[in-house]
Amino acid sequence: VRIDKRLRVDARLEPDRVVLALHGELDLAGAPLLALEIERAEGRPQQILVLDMEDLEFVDSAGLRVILAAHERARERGGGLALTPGQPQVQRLLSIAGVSGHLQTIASPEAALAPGPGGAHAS
Amino acid sequence: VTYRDTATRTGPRGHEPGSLAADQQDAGAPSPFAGPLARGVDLPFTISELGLLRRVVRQTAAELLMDTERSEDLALAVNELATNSICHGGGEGTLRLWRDEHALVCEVRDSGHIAEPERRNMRPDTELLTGRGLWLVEQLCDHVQIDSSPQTGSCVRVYMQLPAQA
Repeated sequence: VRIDKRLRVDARLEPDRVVLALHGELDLAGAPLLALEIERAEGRPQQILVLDMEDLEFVDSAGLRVILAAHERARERGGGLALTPGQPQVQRLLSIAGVSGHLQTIASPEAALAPGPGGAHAS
Repeated sequence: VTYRDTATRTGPRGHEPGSLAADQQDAGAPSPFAGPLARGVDLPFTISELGLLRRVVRQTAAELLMDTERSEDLALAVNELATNSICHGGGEGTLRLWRDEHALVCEVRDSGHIAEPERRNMRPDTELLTGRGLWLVEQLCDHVQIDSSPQTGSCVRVYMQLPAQA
């Protein structure tokens, strides 16, 4: 049993997007690492940021806060932010927090984003 | 002024620390806290122990036969309370767990004062980036009790009803 579940973030560059794959547990202790990786991604030319949540084992309100802030900045600059479906705990937090419909979910990190708010061509 | 709020969906249960069933047989790996927990000993925490707190809550809930979703809800609730302690309650706090007749009880204490405990009943705006913690806790647990004053700090107890066979 792996005791250390500290957040790990792997960045992958695609022509149109940066994919950040999240592993472990995203809490107050892990939030600064995610914020840093998102900031790096935002400095790149790719307009789309995908957070791959598949391997994430836990997220809380501190982690959600980082994601919502990134979503807001993506909207402001006309870029896109999307999440892949997370495990049940991750989906449950997004649902209870009332942000499931607010954040765009795509089936896989390579999938196209829908146009419109939160999409790649948000007005 | 002490704010004491016992409004609840399920009614308050026993409020004094009892003990976890001493004869529980642990099906999985033995909890390193099985002994201390059984005697209701405090678990002090800082940001370094957040993950540990979640594991202790999950394991204790599992030992009491709580299903995975409710056990995970309780772990998240305790995580949110501990996060509040770390961010607003002096950077540290103390967790105590025990079972009473009907519920697994988790108590988080810190030196901070919760000035607006009624916020737990307000759904945050989607855009609002703060203030979700207490509201989430209210959604996740069967019963929440908040005691807070500037003089004594905060004590929040969350109750999760045990399955009938526990």
